Amino acid sequence: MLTGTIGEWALRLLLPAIASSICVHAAAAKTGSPGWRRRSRQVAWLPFALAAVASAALICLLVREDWAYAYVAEYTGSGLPLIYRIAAFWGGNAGSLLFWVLMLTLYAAVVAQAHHEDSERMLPLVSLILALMTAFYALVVNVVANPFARLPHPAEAGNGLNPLLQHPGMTVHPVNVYLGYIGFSVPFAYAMAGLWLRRTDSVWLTVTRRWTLVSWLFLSIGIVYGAHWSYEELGWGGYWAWDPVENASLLPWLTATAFLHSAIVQERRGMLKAWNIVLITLTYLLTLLGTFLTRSGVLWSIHAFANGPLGIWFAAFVGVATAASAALIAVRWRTLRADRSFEAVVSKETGFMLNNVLFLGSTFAVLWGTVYPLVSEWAGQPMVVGPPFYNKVNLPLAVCILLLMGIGPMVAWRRSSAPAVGRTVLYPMLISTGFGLALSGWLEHQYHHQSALGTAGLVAAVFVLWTVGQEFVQAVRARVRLTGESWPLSLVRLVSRHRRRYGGYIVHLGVAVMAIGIAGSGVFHVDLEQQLRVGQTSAPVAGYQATFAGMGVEQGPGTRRLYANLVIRRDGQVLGLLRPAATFYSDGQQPTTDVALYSRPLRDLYVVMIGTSQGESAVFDFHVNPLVQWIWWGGYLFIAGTIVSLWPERRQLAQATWPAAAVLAPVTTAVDGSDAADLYAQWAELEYDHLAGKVPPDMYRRQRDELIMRIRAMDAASIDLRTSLESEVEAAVQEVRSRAAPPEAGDAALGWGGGRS
Amino acid sequence: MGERLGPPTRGQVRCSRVAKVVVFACAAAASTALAAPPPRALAGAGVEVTREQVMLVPAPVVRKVEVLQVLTVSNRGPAASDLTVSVPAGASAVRAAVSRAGTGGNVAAPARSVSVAHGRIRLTNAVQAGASATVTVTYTVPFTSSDGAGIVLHLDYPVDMAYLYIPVGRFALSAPGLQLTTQTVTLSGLRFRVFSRPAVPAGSDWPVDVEVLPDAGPGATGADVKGLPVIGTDDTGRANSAQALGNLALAAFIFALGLVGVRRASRPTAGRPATTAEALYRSWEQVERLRAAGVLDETDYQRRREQLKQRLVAMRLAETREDA
Repeated sequence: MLTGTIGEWALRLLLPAIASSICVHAAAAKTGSPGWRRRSRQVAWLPFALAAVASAALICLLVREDWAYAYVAEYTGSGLPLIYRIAAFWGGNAGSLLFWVLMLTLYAAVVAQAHHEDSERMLPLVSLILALMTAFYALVVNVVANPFARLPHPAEAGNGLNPLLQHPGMTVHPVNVYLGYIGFSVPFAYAMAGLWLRRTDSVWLTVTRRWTLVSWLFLSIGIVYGAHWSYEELGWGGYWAWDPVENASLLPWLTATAFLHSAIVQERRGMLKAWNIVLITLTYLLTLLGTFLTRSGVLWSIHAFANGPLGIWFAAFVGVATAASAALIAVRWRTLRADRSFEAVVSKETGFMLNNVLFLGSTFAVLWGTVYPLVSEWAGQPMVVGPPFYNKVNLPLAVCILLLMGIGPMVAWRRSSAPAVGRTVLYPMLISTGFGLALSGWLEHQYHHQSALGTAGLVAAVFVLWTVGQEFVQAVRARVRLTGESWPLSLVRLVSRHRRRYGGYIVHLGVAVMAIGIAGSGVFHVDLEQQLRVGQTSAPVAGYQATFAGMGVEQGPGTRRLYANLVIRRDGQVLGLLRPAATFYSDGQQPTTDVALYSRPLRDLYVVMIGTSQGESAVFDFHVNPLVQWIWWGGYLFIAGTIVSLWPERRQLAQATWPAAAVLAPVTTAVDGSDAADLYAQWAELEYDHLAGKVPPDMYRRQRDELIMRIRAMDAASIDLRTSLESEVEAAVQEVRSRAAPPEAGDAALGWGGGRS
Repeated sequence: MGERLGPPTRGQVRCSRVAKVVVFACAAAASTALAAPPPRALAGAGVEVTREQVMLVPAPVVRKVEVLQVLTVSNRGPAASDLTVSVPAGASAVRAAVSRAGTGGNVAAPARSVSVAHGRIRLTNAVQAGASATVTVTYTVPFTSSDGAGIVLHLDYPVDMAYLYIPVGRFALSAPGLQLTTQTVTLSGLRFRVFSRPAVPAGSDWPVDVEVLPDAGPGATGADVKGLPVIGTDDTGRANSAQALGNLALAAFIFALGLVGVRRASRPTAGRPATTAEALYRSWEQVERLRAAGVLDETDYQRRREQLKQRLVAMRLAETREDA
C-alpha cells in the first residue's frame, strides 16, 4: 500500500512541478539571463524524477499483483509471466499515459542539458514548449486516467492480460510506437522555437537529426512488430488490414520519412525551409491525431482502447496544437524563404522533392480513408473504407517511391542532366527488369496468380537492390583508388566515416527486401478453407497437403487448449505435424485461435482451425504466403541501417577526408557546423559524384571552381571579421589600462560601448 | 416536363436549396419516427430487483440450455405492483412463481395470476407496497449455434447485483459487464462458477453466450502420429518470454544509443576551441553573422556582443597581470 501511496503522491506533485518549471523556462526565455538559464536546465530534471518515482511504483504494484488498484487488477492475473506484468505498465490506457509522461519528461531533461549553436536563446523556449506538452499529459493522468485509482474492495484475482496481447511482438509494439510518437515532440519543439526566434536556418535540423531518426526508428519497429503480431496472432492470414489504428501509426511515419529526406536538402542546400517546418508540424499533429483515434474510441479497432472520456481531452489538445502552430507558421512565413532556388530540373534536390510529394500523396490518401467513416457518419450516411481503396491508391505510389529510391543515388546534387541520369540508370534498369520478371514468372508458375502491379513492385525492388549495391561497389572502388586500402577495410571505413549516408542506403536495402516480401505475399498468396474428417487429406495448396490425424486436449490453469494434429506433406514427402489450436478460458474471456505456422524462406504454411464438430471433423483455413519472411528480414536490415546512421561518430572536418584540403591549405578555419564546413561537405560530395560518374566533367569543373571561390571568399571574410574583433578588444584593453594608470589618467571603470555598424 | 427558358435566378436556386433541406429534414424525421421502437410501458415506480440469479445448465445431448432465474424484488412504491419478466426468444416450458415476504416476516403466497404472452411473463399484483418478493422463472432455450446458445436477458427494473451460474467443466460463458473475479459454489452436488455484474440498468438487453467446449471426441490423437516431429514456430511459454525479453532489450539498446548519440552530438567536443578566448571569439563572430542575417534584434545583439567583449577584455587584462 505504501508503494501505491508514494506513486500517487509523486503523480500529484507532478502538476505543481511542471507548473513551476513552465514559469522558470518562461523567465529564462524572456530575460535570457545566465542565472535563469541555469535554473531552467536544473528544473527540467524535477518532473522527470517525479514521473520516474510514479512509474517505478506502478511497476512494483504490477509485479507484486496488488489487486487493490483497478489498473493492476485489470491488466494482471495469476500465472502471468513477469515480462508481461512489466509490459502491463504500457499495456493499458492509464499506465501508457504515465509512460508517456515519463518519456516526455526524460526527453525534456536531456534536451535542456544540450549545448549547441544559439542554445542560449533556443533551449529555454524548447523546454517551455516541451513542458507545456507534458502539462497536458500530467493533467490527464491526474484527472481522467489515474493508474493509482483504488478499488472499493481489493479484487480477489486479476483480470489478466488479454491472451491476444501475450505475444513477444505485442510486448514491445506499443512501447515502440509510443517512443516514436513522443520523440517527434522534440524536433517539433525546436522547429517552433526556431520559428519564434526567426532562426529558420538548418541549426534546428542539425540539432534534432538524431531525435528525429530515433523516433522514426521506434515508430518503424512498432509498425513492423504490430504487423508481425497481427500475422501470428490474429489468425486471418495477413499482416496489414488497414485498420484505423494501424493507419494512425503509419500516417506520422509517412510524413516523418518525407521530412528525413527533405531535411537533407535544407542542411546541404538551404532549401525547403518552409516545407520542413510544415512536415515536422504535420508529423507531430498526426501523432496527436493517432493518439486521439486510439484512445477516444471514435473508431473501432482491435488495437484501440475501450471508449473512454479521453477523446474530448485529446480532441481539444489537437485543436490547440494545430491552431498555435499554424498561427506561428503564418506569422513567420517570410522568414522561411529558401537561401537559394533549384538550379536544374534534374538534380538530387528535385528527386527529394518528388519523393516528398509521393509520400504526402500517400499520407493524404490514408488519412482520408481513415477519417472517412467519421465524416460520412456526421453526414448521416455511415460508410467504411476497405483495403481495396488503400491498396489501389498506395501500391502504385509505393512502386514510384521504390523507383525513385533506385534512381536517387545516381543523381548528382545541384545539377545533372537527363541524358547523364539515363545513361547511369539504363543498365541497372535493364538488369533489374530481367531479374524482376524472372522472379515474378517463377512466382506465377508456383502460385498461378498474375498481377502487373505486383510484377512492377518486384522489378522496382530489385532495381533498388541493384543500384544501392552498385553505389557501395563504386564508392569502395573510388576509395581503394584514393587510399590503396584493401576492399573489406575500405568498405568498413567507408561506412564508418559516412554513417548517415551508408546507414541510409542499408535502410533502402531493407525497404527493398520488405517490398519483395509484400509483393510476393500480397499478390501470390493462396488459401483454402476445407472441412476434414479424421483421416481425410486436404486438397493440395501450393504443393502442401494436410492429413487430419485427430485431435487432442491440453488442460492448463484456467484454460483448455484443443488442438488438431495435421500431418503435413509437400510433394509427397512427409514434413511433420502442425498443430493449429483453439484455447478456451474458464473466466469468461472469448476463446482464441492459435495459428500453426511453418515458416520457410520462400513461403509460409499458415493453418488456422476455425471450427470443430464432436471431435470427428474440423474446419481448417490453409494459407500459403510466399516470401512473407522477407518482410521481417527486411525489417531487421532496416533497423540495422538506422542503427548505423545513429551510431555516435567522431566529428571530423570534411576536408580531412578528401584531397580538397590540400588545395586550400593552410586556410583551415572551418569548424564543424559552420557555413565553410558545409561548403567543404558539398565539395566532398561533388568529388564523390564525379568519381562515381554522376556529373559530366565540364559540369564538375565548373562547380568545383565555384565552390573553391566561395570557400576562399568565406575564409577571407572570416579572417577580416576576426581581425576587426581582435582590434576592438585590443582597443578596449588599452582604454582600461589607460584609465587604470595613476590618478591623473582617470578611473578604472570600463567604459567602452557601441556596436559594429 | 416544362420547357427550360433560361438559367434559374439566384432566388430560385436559394428556394430550391431550402426546399431540398426541408424535404430532407422531413424525410429524416419520418424515417427516425418509423424506425424508433414502439413505446413501452414504464416499469412500476419504486420496484427494483435487489438480486438477480440466473443458473444456466447446458444439456448438449438434447442441444438445450435449462435456465433458472430467481429475482429478489422489492417495492418501495405506495401501492402493490405487477411484475413483468421477459424471457428470451425461443424459450419454451416457461414457468413462474412468486413467494412474497411481508413487512412482519416472510409470508409465502402465490401470485394472483401468471400470464405468458409475446415472450413476457406478467405476474399480477406480485409485490405489495413496502414489501419484497422472490420471483422464480424457469424455461428452456434451444442451442442457437452448433455448440451453444445466445440468450438475451431483459428486465424492466434496475438490478442491484446480477449473478450468472454455469457448471464448472465443459462449458464457457461470456457476457458484457462482468466483474473481474469469479467464485465457485456447489449446489445439489454440482459445482458452479459464479459470474457477477453490478448495477444492470432498467430496460437494458444483456446478451449472454453459453458455449460447450469442444472435446477431442472419438478422433483423439492416435498412435499414427507418434514419432513425427512437430514443425512450425515454437509457441511455448519459455520461447515466448525469451522473445519478448529480446525485443525489449533491443528497444532499450536503441533508446540508450539514441540518448548517448544525442548527448555526444550536443556536446561541443570535436571542433571545440582550444582556448576559452577562441571560444568567445567564435561566439562573437556567430553573433555578428546572426545580426547580419537579421535573426538577432538590435537590443539582443548589443547585449550579447557587450557580454562577450567584456569577457574577452577581462581575460586579456588578467593575462597581462599574470605576465607582469
